This record gives sequence, C-alpha cells and structure tokens, in this order.
Amino acid sequence: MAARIITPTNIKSNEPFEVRILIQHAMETGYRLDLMGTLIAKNVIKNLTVTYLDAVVFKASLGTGIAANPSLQFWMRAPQNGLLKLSWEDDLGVMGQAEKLLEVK
Amino acid sequence: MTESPKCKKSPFIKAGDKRNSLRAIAAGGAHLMLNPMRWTVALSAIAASSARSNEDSFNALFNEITGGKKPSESRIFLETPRLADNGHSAAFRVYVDSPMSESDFVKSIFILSDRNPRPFVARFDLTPLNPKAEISTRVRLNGSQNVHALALTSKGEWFTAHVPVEVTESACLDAS
Repeated sequence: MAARIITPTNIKSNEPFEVRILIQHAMETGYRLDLMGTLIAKNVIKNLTVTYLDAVVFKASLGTGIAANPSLQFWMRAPQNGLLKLSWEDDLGVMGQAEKLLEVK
Repeated sequence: MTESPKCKKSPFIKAGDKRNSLRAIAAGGAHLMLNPMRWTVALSAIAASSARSNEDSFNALFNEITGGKKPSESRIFLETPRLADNGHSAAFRVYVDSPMSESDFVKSIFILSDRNPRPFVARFDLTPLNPKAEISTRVRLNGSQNVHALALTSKGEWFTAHVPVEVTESACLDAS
C-alpha cells in the first residue's frame, strides 16, 4: 500500500504550513459484494499517527464514512529539520509506513 | 388457478403507476392489484425503519461521545459543497476557532453523519503543535443529510456544528 506525504517546498522555521496525506486504501465498507456475490469484509484504516521529531503531531481513526484512498490535511509547524513519519494500521492488521524529511529554511 | 407471467411481474408495478395498474386489471384478478400495493407498502416501511434506526444510532453515538453533555453550537465552521454530485467522495473541511496554545487547544474533532449506516466517520486528535485546528478530508455520504462535527477542547468544552449536504448519487446503495 502506497502512501504520500505532501508538504510545501518552502517551509520557514516555526511558520504554519499544511501537510497532506494520501494513502492508497480501498476503505471497504463491509456492504460491497465481490464478483461471486459474497460480502467483502469491512476493512478501514482504524489508526493513523503522524510524528515529527518523535512527537505526535496528528492522530486519526477513520470509519467507513471516509472515502476510499483517504486524503487528510492538517496544519503543523517545524522549528528545525526533521523526519515526518506516518504509520497506520487497518482492520485486517496490515500496517503501513511512510516518511518525509522536512527541510526548514 | 395458474398464474400468468404478468402476475409474476406484478410486484414491480408501482402503486401510483396508472397505466400499469390498468394493465394489471385487464390481466384479471383483484389480487394482482393488491400484490403490488403490499410490496410498495412493505418496501417503504423497510426504508423508513432503516432511516429511523440510522438516526437512532447517530443520536446514541452523539451522546456516547459527549457523555450526555450538551455541546454549544459555536466556534466550529464546516465547509463542504452544498450539492455533492458523488456520495462516494465529498470534500469536507472542518475548522475550529481556537488559540491552539498550551493552555487552550482543541484535543479532538469528531465527524458524524446522521444517515450513513454507520454514523461514525472519523476522529482526529490534535496537540498544541498544530497551529490551527483545521482538517480537510473526503467523506462518503449515503444520501442527502446533515454532516455533524464535534470538538473537545483541553478545557473540557464541547462544540458542535452541522451542515446539510445534498447528494445526487449516494454511496452504499449499489452492491458493486
């Protein structure tokens, strides 16, 4: 499962900026049928955490009401260069990670 | 009495469809008329009860989250298209007016829907590291409804807001 973290190219120290997270995930509702007519089990990203310099900056738990391939945007500040780490886990226990180095000017 | 092919089709005749009703009478037998009526009544009853149960589960979840407290209807601003063409993915932005300082910040934001089969949409947890309490995402909507947001501040105050969204093509209906 692929994920992307999108940040502005020009981040200034301690200035607010918006982070966008895109994760490739079907976010199955549990109401869909497959080609054989059997129900596809509910499978959504139940936990998602974003950390920066080992401090949690954003946490989310998503339900079936979030569209497939979730897009999440939130605001943060970065005082210095650091690694922005994203990790998530879905109902089937599949975990995913992504990271991006923030370069602060 | 053997049933004609027309009789088998009868459940799909709508109650208000005069032309089909006349055709049904022509095919003979008052029970032909009764059958479609019964079906329509039964179907609308199912639809009404599922809408009510969705609303009930929404109210139950709302009270469970707030712990029975009555949130004040202020400080939250919601932004979403008034008319969402596609219920599978509708842009949704929630903003809470808060200083986001160490002493007063928004701890959690909940998004709830009052007509989805599962009312819980998402929960977001923020910290004073976030300069703004603003989240953008995309939601799934099962038909036209109100989308609600709840916010809990570090002082323990609850705020709420809701926005009506018209959905042209609702999610969850097709089994594809």
